[in-house]
Amino acid sequence: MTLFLTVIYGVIFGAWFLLTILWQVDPIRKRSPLLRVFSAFHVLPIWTFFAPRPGMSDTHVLYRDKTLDGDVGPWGEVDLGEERKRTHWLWNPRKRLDKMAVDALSEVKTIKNAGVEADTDEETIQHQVKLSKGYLVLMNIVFSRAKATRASVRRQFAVVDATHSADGRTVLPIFFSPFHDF
Amino acid sequence: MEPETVYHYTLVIAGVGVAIKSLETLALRREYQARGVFDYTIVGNDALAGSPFAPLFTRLYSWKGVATLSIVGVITFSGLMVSDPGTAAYTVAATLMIASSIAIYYRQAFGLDGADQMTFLVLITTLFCFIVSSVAAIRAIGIWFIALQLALAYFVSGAAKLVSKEWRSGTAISGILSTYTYGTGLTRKLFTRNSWLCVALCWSVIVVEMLLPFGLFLEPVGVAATLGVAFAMHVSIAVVMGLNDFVWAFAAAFPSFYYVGTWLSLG
Repeated sequence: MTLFLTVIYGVIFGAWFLLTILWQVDPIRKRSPLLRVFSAFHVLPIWTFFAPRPGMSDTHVLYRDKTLDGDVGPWGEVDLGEERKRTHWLWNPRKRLDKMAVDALSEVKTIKNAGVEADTDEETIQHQVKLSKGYLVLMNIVFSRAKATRASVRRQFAVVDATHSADGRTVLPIFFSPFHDF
Repeated sequence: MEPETVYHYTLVIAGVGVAIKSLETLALRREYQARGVFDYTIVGNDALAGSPFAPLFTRLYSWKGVATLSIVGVITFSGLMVSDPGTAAYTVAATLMIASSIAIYYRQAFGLDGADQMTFLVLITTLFCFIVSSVAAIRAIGIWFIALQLALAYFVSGAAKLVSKEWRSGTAISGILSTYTYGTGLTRKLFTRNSWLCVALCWSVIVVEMLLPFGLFLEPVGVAATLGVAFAMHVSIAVVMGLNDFVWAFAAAFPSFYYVGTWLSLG
């Protein structure tokens, strides 16, 4: 019985390790339905940290409200991350807020890029984006913030990327949502 | 070092990470409530929401459920630290700490990172190969699995950077460390104006990460030195980039790496 159990453990953990190796290869990740089934259980890690395409920009989630009269307010920003503090090497709870937005945006970008590559029309791409979990997460992030005024009835959000160089800061809009009702 | 000692150190180190993450979760508890950023009805795992146990998961992953799981994580880690290995109290504390951590791991589809993945692998392996089983060979399988996953993680991380033109050219470091998310005022100044420093640092990271796994084949003191380099790398990443949880998640795999490396050199 002990030998039998040991063999079972050996097969499971050996297979798990081999599948992890395969999962690191992007073309295999995209084409293997079997591996995607395992990945759905979050048991296959990806060890490609900040590579091969490193994230080199800050993600900013902005929003503005519209009143019943049609007046549109100024853009505000959802406070996700924060500037580096000396304690962050040990204590950094807010990093998860930013990660949530980045992951959600990553899914939205993937859907948009896939649509463009497949020559899908813009309206269909927008529809697919709005049905995605990433879009819902971003929308929830934005709507988790209080109304700008009591008269606000609709909210629009936008995602922009900001990069920094020796020449200064460059802001690039990624997408704008339509106005959604509260 | 005996396998039991390896797993004990693994649990202690991973437990520090679990405790910190639990306290961080409690600090953000408002965001786990309805309409918060981590509202379960929005960010929750679709597979769980569609399962026959959906009502149970809805309760477990409500903000009260998450707060409870986090408090359990902190208390059980404390219990682990004060109880003697091999006792029933130790086993219960370890099991509950692992269970609460894995429960939180499966809560949401977004927002997880490499530290969460490594912690999951380390803890679930510890659960099945150490807590559930007392068979020496099975315990060894778990230790080898953790050690090889750590080696793979470093090698793949380095290899993925090697094939990246941003990393080979040095722009990756200046790009990443000039952000407000992962950089500081000092890194923004330093790395946007000194391209040679960026290139040197990029290639240092690539070379170090790809070579770290080969530390398994050194003498024990070399294995320890390899882990020292890896630990220093994670601490510097935590200080500069704020990625504090990677320190504990990856260090939790170090005892297994040391055990395997020592076994390979001594036989």
